[in-house]
Amino acid sequence: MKKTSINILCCLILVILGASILMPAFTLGSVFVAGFSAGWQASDNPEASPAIETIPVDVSFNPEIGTLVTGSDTISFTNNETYPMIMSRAVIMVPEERFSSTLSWISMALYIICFVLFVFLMIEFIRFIININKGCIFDHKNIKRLKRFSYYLISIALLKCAAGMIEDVLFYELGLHIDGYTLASYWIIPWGTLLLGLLSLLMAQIWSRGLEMKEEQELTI
Amino acid sequence: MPIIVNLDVMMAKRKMSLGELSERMGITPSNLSILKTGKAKAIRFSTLLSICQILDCQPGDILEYRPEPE
Repeated sequence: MKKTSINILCCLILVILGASILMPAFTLGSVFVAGFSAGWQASDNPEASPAIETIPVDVSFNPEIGTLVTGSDTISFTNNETYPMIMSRAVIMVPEERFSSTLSWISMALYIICFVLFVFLMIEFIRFIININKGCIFDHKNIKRLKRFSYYLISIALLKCAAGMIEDVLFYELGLHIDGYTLASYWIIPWGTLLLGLLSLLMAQIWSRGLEMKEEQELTI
Repeated sequence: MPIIVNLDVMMAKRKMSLGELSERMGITPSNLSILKTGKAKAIRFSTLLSICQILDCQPGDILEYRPEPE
């Protein structure tokens, strides 16, 4: 019964991990396919003028003091009602040429590394579940796996932060401005991932202490 | 580990084999072997008592403190 509940919990975690990677993987895939097909078409017809490629940028609108009170922008609904509005977040399509290509590449590379680490993390987790199912619970391999699991999570969180900061720099280089708002690229520190990584590390340390106690118990004559 | 187990020395003095001692003590030969080879991390007072009773010796004859060279 206990084994079944552990398996159910592990499957749930695996499903959540899988679901969290699905959207970024789809975005990465679609961007790759779009770029590949554009390149293919360009090679087929080199004389045609290249289409202007745009990059979606997630922008956060931070209202300046007074914007909330005056609220000059309005939103009209289909039932003819109009309300004052402030913006908070939007996606704008910016021509690719406006971005520094080096920084864009670095940012993209960081996301790809994150993706690869995520795949490794899932493999590590599946191996961990298989080992637990085999009955090897307090095992040095499990501790190593848990430690690696936490290092992957912490690395992913830090890489996402770095990518977000690069996106910030790219956004400021654009020099966009709207009256009444301070604009910034939208990214948040992945506190959840960071916390999960640190919790896994703590668990690995506790597990390691448990194994030490078990060995001590076994070697007490 | 600066604590040395001299069980083999005492066993040789009493001309007792590992199998015989383990049988008289009521523990498995493998556990006694762990103790004899110095792999054990701890020893119960009850185990020490039965060793001393069977080999007719003092705990100091079995255990020895030898400081590690710095």
